[in-house]
Amino acid sequence: MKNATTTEAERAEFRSSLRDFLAKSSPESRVRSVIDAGTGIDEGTWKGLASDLGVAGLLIPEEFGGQGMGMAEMAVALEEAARAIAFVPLLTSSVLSTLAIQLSGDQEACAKYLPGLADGSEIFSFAGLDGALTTTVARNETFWGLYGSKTAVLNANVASRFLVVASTPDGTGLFVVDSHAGGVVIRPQDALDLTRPTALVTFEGTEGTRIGGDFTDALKSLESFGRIATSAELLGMSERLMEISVEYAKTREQFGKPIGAFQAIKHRCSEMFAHVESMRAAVGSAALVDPEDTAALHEHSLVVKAYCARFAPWIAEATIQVHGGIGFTWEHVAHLYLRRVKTDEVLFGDALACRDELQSMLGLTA
Amino acid sequence: MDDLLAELRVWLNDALPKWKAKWDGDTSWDALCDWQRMSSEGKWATAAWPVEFGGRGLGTMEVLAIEDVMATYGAPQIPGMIGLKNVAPTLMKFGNEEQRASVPNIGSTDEVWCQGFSEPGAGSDLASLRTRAVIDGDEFVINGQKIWTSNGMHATHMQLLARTNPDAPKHKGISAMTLRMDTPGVEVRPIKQINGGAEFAEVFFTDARVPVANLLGPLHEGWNVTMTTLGHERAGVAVFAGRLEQRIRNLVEDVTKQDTKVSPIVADELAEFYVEARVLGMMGRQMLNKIAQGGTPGSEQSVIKMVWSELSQRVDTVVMEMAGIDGVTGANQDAAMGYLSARSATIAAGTSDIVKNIIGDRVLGLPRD
Repeated sequence: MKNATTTEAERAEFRSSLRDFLAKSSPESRVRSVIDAGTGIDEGTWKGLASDLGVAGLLIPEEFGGQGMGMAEMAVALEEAARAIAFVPLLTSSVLSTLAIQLSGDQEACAKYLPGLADGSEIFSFAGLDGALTTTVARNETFWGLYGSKTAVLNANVASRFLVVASTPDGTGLFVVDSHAGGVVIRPQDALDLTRPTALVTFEGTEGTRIGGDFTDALKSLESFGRIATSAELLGMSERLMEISVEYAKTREQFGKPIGAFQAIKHRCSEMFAHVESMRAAVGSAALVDPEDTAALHEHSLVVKAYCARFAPWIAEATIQVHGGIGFTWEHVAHLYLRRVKTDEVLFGDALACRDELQSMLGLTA
Repeated sequence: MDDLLAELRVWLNDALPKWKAKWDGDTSWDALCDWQRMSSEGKWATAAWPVEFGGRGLGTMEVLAIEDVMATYGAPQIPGMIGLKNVAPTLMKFGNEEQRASVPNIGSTDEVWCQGFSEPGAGSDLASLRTRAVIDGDEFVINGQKIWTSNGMHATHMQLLARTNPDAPKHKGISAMTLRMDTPGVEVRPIKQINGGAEFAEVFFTDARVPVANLLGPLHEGWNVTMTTLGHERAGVAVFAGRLEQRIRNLVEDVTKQDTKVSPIVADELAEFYVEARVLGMMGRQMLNKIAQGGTPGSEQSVIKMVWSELSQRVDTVVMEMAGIDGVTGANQDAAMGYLSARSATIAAGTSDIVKNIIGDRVLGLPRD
């Protein structure tokens, strides 16, 4: 992956074409119909984003069929997709899996898997979180056999392959597993986020293809990118929630005037704005860090995620508060955002976890 | 830029030791004025001024870089900042020949200028000011009171805002004018602050007579004249953001050097400050980049001001907490004074509450009450 190759003006243009597309393809009514249908993906929006607009290949070098861009451009796509609560596997396939393969350093694997990811014809899901009380292990028999389970596997129901992190006799390894392989059991979870299903995926001696060598350092970098990516989503959703709140505060009248005229509401909206602007500066800076500079990337990712994971939920909660009773109804869009916000909050560490790591990095704790 | 800063370093290496030798640790008003005089002669304090007024005609980015280098060298504070940054640019833009003649004296501190803006009844709501200036022949007769006048005790001159048309809407009936502080009918009293200092004054006007020729800009146009002046302050908040970020870095470093580890709760508070200060610093740099590319900062300035003031106040509160009993016995006077002084962070230059109204009204377009 490269550092930013586009100018700010080019990214603004990219943003506006994404926003136009998503406004047509993924309005709230569309998102709700996909949720109700239970198909697990908005096919039309995914095709448009992934292939037509080239978003799936943003982080993939041109030699493997991608756009050869970096996090600065992908952050824009993540913001816009999350803003539209689009029902697509963008995070797990086009960011996490795409980067995991490249970070493995395995050129053969890059040549084999990246072109399919780049044009959106293949969907991968990154399975990095071990299920309760188990560690996924890989035993080197006649082939690598995987044993264990992974939780919170995003969009597992539509993935053709999983990328599985497992411990091996010689350190941590990354494995590609066909989702239809023998011994793979996908159990859909009752996910809080209605726009991004999760599953518990169990491997019972499933054959995996190991890519790259020890994945320990690569995993640390991947987690840094994961924090920046989830922060970008949190920014996109926060910005939209602020707009929805401000719009409502201008039109809803009580006591003979718009509620936005009351300072309690006005100040809450102003604080939302201040947090959104802060998140924008933080995500923008983090997405521009040189991807090769792992120390700077690590620090930036912790700072940006600690901020966004703390204040995006606050903005979602404040949105419901500004709306009063209507904000507590299933029909109102606020909870669809709140659910996705709370999920992005915990992926790759919530604010507390990030601060905990910052504390030891800064030498504040023993 | 590099050449400019190299020239500044050469100058500082010469001037700073000379000043230190002359004043030997003295940081009195006179000592600081002497430093400003030297800095103006070197065209550093006046770097933003046009060349014809004795400046270098530099832009915001260069001026901020100069101030940064000055700060890293531990150069003394410039005492007449209000004159240099706010009054002088206004005189250059709106002043008559006599008023413009004051500009070089502002650099040298032969004249010290203050701004008579805030009043007891007009703080955050400055436009509701009530000090009256009534025309009588070729003079204004001024009656009223100003408060929170920075440098008021040292000032030789004032840029005054007074109401000249009480019947017009509040922003439209105000005029700006200049006057000498030794004008009969002008009385100055210091305001002692909660931290014991007295950086501000109250100024009382009782039938003080000022020539109509001292008008600054057109009659009744004082509000617009003043807004131009305040505009010069705006980039400053971005610098505050960077300094607070650096302050937190230093604070964290100091804490880690101590023999005993801080409690987990304090450690988390410091980590929180670190996160918020880093983000604030990023926001400040983005604003500076925008200025550097010729853009005009808009809402960022209000957001940075709001975030900076609340964060810096929280930091001083925790520093006071960390001082424990020493904070209240005088054993840790820095923590105590820092804590007291920080109360003004959310008040000065527009209270946080008003800044939130401004963001709500002007940026988000929410209905006014």
